[in-house]
Amino acid sequence: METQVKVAPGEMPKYIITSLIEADVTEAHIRDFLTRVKPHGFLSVAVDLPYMDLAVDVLKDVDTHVTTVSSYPLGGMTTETKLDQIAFAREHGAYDIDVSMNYFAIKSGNFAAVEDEVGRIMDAAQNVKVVLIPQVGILTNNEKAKTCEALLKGGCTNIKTGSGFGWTTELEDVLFIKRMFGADLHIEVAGGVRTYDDAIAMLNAGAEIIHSSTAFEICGINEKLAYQKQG
Amino acid sequence: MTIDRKAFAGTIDHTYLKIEGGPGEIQRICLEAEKYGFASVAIYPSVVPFAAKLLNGTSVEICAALGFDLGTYTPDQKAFETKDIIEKGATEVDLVMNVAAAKSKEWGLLEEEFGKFREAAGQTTAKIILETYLLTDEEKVKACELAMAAKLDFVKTSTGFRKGTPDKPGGARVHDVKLMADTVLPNVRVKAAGGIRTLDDALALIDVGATRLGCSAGVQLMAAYDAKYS
Repeated sequence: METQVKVAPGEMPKYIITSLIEADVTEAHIRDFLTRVKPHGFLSVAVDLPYMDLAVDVLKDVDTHVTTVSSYPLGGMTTETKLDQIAFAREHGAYDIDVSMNYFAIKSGNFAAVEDEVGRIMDAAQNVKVVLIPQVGILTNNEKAKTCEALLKGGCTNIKTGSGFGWTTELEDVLFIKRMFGADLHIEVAGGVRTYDDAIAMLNAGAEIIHSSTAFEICGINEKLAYQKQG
Repeated sequence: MTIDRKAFAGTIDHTYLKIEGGPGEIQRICLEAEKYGFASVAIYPSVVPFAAKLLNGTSVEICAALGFDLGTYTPDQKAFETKDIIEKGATEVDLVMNVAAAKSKEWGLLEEEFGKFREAAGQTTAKIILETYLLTDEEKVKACELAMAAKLDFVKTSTGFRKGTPDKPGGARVHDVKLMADTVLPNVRVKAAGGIRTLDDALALIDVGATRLGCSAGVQLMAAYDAKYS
């Protein structure tokens, strides 16, 4: 029996990257979000590329990082477009960047292309932490394994299981990746982690970081965002 | 209203935007598009080189879905992506606009985005996606006016990815297409996309001014057309 992770609700923010990424999120929404997140000691906040500067500025005097995204959330962009976005994120002070992988290459079984893209992404990111999104919800176990192999060969050691949009990550996915690649890969989970118990279960399964848009609920923090999703 | 079979097929952007699609799925939609005479295949940029090779020498356009599905990146990044994908074989580009800019009335930012999109697209057919369910009618009209000023080729209702709410559904609505058509025709054309599943849906949208339909149900629409008119 492995040691169970014990995280008190008050400590949970250190394990959580909370995000506000939607089409109609305005600068005013982001300002409100950052102000509400700032006092609670979250690991990081994820915002879209145009809001990088604002997030870096608002959070400059606390330990909370700024995360951004590339080819997000659907992952259909070309490698060159991803590199362009990554360069922007790097220049604008991102601590880490979550990048969707090339799902068409994965589904084509072209793992050489997957590995090649990972290598180019790592070069472009330089000192910025890269977290790649294999979107486990659309992959077979064989594809998950081959994708993780390609990712490691390409020089990346961080994965985020899903984009958090539309596909959920199952506990079994985390256990599978942990068992196969746990010695080399740092696992971040996104997609379907809604409660404190969900988060604890994922941490126990081997995840190190939880992504959630309901971080306040998970941590029992009484804050309500100005932004309300329109369906 | 009647529309002949060839013209009807020619309104359809045969759309495949499931991220789990592999070569088999893309090959299927490319073959269907050629067989039925659809206007284009609408696909992700990462799939464009593969589809462009398959459809080389046919009249089917290669339509790249840019910025899916949130559209939340900068005008320069959008311009970069547009140029890049045209070099890789896209002959039409559908880009999600910065919805947040419209919501916060930063019309200058949208003007910049549309202008850079037009410039980057050059002669390539450029469609800007409004994601109408998130906008007020006033915001839709303003975005349409900016699209006209930027000389874009199409305004398009939706990405088709969003359900919306019961009173503001995420797909193409007759009300929106009519509003957009009344604003932009004939300088700019209107593409309706999202939730077009039946022949009645399609004909109602064409009736109020749509000349392109973005949908994944193209083959079923043709079968329904043939059943009704032949």
